[in-house]
Amino acid sequence: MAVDQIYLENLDEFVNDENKVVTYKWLSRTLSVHVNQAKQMLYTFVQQQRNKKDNDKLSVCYFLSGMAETPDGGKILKAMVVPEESLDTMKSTLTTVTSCHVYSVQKVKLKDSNALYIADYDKLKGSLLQSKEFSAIRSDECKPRSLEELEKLEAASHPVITEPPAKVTTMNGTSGSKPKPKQPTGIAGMFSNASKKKEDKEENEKEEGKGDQEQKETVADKGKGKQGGIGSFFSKQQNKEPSTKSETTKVEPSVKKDSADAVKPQRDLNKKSPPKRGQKSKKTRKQDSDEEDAAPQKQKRRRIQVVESSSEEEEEDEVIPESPVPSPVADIPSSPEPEKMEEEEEEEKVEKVKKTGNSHAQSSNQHESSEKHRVKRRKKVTNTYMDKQGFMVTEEVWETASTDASDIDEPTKPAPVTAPKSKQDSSDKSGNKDKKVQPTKKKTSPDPKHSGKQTSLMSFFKKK
Amino acid sequence: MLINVSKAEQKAGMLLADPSAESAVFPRVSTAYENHSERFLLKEKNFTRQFAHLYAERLSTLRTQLEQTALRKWGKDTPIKQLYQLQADEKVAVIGTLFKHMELRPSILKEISEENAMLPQPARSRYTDDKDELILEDELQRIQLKGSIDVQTMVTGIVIAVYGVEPDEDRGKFLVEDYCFLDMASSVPRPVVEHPVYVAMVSGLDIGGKSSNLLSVQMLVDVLTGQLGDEGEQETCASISRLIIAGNSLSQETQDKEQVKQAKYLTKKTTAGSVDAVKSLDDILVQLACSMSIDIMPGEFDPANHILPQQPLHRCMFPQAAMFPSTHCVTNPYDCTIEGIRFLGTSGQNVTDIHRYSTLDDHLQIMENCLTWGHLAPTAPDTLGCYPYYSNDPFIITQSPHVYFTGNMPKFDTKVVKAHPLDLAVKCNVLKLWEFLSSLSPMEPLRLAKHERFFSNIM
Repeated sequence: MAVDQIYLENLDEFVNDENKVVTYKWLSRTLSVHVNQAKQMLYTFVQQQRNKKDNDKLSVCYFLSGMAETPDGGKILKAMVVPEESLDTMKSTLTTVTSCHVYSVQKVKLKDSNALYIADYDKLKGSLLQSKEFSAIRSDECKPRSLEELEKLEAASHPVITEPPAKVTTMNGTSGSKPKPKQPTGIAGMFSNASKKKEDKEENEKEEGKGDQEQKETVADKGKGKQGGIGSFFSKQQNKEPSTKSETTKVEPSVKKDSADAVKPQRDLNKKSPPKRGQKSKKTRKQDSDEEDAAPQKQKRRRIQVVESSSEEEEEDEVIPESPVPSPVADIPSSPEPEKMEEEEEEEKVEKVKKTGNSHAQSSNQHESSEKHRVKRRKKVTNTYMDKQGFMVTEEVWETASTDASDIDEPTKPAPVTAPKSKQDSSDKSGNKDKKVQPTKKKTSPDPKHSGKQTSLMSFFKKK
Repeated sequence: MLINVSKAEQKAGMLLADPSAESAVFPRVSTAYENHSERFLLKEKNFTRQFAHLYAERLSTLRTQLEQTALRKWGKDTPIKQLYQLQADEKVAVIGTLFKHMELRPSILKEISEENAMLPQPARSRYTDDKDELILEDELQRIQLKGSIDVQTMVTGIVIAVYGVEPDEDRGKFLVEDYCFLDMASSVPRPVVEHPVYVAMVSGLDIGGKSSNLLSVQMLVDVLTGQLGDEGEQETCASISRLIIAGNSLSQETQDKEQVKQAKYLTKKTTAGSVDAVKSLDDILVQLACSMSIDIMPGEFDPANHILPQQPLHRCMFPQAAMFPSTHCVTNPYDCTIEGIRFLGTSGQNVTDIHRYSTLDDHLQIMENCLTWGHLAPTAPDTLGCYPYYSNDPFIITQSPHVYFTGNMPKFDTKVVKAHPLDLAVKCNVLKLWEFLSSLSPMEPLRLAKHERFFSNIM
């Protein structure tokens, strides 16, 4: 048959010309044939070489297995790989032979077994999952889990995280849930965070390009919840951008352009912050959830970020100082701005959710420390909220910041206290500039004391 | 009935032929499976407790059963008393926990004691001595045992019923005339299996060690997955439904702690030896998982907790193999039912510990004793690390297994033990790297066939 001839030539090439050690397994994978056929091919090749071409330089190893007697009188099944020379002697040690076939053919005489192992090694590593394809035994039960199952497994191992997202989903049905087709499998996904984040960011960029107007997306993204923990966190983050962008366009057309750029540094920022935050939070965390992935931490961070969106949750804005990991790029005001806007949005329920779910030590630290710094003052604050028609409304109000904890529940919350300097300056400004200045300085983000709004470097420049 | 060698024999050598058009593919046999090891999973990890609770629990649980056994053995009228109720020269039966007092037993107090200023003892493999004594402890008191009780074959932690007398002239000692342990718990009758089904056990793969024989491991994988061997052999391998890896998949050398002693700046970039070893193990497991169900138990040198019960190896260590639902990471000790046959086994730490503290040489004998004593690891927590349980002792053998196995023993051996006429228990030692096939064949319903398979490469 034509097929036969081809393989013989191939074998000839492999063994004689390339000096390879050709094992039956290697041959089976290379030629995509059943292992038994590969063994037979090797045998035929050897016969042909020896009989027809008088090429006796080949050295052959056989696999031999059979019953043998042990010194104790018991019987064991021995399985071994023997060079041709010892084949007969070994056969004689066995009482019955159960298997005998060619294991490998090579030109050189092998000194030890490692060479045989190495011969298969590369091929094997490359096709681990296909090892069953050419073998003689198939099993129907052994199929790899699908992505959904893996995610379920992951979800099962992180019960803490599932609570807040579950609650959040009830609030906003218009999430337009983005399916995440490209989630890397389970645990591997955790370790390939970087690639995942990039994917999500690319996705999000496209969305922004579409110019989403829905502010509800922000909350809705939380609703995606467990759908790829970390990824969804970032996607939500990005979705915030377009929604807030839409607000700012009303006020500052110029800023909009910047925000697109701002998204990038923001993204980088976010990317850096979770690991950073992760490290920090490890020290302060009291829970002993698995540390194997940053999902719980990131999830917490996400929760806290949502907290920013409430004007009441001034204490829990601690994330804001953290999240803007000092990025060398001067943070364009609009980027922290949108977050500021979020802060002042209503969504009390969200805050409540965050509060209940949030047992993060750091947040409580922030809580306490921020309280120390709260100063009674009166300042002008722009409140942005959604009116009943679904439009975002911005208004400027003189509000009093107070140190009293009871102020938390008031809907129109004064802006949270942040780095004192920038705050006081910002209070003097009006309208647009407020937005730029209010965010806390990003440089001070690691400082838990200066909790509150996110600042930017621009806050330095704006003070006049 | 040994593994179906004859069929394999007929087809041996048939692959020394020209390629045939078609090659046979055999479907893997599947079996019913149930895991009973939940009691070994630690839900909470509270180490602020003392071990007294564990002993108290053990004694109270086994006391009731022992009382019945004692009455059966020595007569229904035998008085069973507690130690504080003992009167001189009265023949009674007492139930309590054994404590073996050993001089040579390593004691941290002795080591740091300044009075003795002893030179550190050379590492011994056995701590038994002729002067060892046995002491019986019940809930309130303890008493020294003398008489016809063999000190050397006992270890601390066994719950025992002794029959004897406390002599008046030698109070504080109990003269033992007879003693007994639990009756081996009866096992559920073994169902008859129609077609021959096998379970393979292997232990001590020792990956990552310097003298690792990777080819042998690969050969094992190839045989089990049906790549190696002639058609007959492949067909018999298709009737192996499950593989149990009983510990020590990683070599002892991966536990090298020298890095800890070196300065941090020197070892900054070095990774632990176990990292690469686990990756290799994952590669091996995924090949197996493609084709059969596997249960991996942690062993002494595996990256799992040290004390018993060892928790399952985490699936994040096996990113590829964990994708398959056929990979099961299980606890050590492991208790499961495969096709109605109950398997119970450990990775060997309990048996080696008993071996160290008694003169029992035959590991199989030790295993048999464990079944008699009704406890998997009586030396825990005395000399074997154990979790401080509070409300239950999960190592008590409540139901006798059909197959009781131990991994990482120096020699492969099996023995059939019958507790009751209808029962059957097979004990097997599993050697390092030797594969063991236990047949659940119905051909001879009273016998479980076992075999050892030996992989070697001879150059």
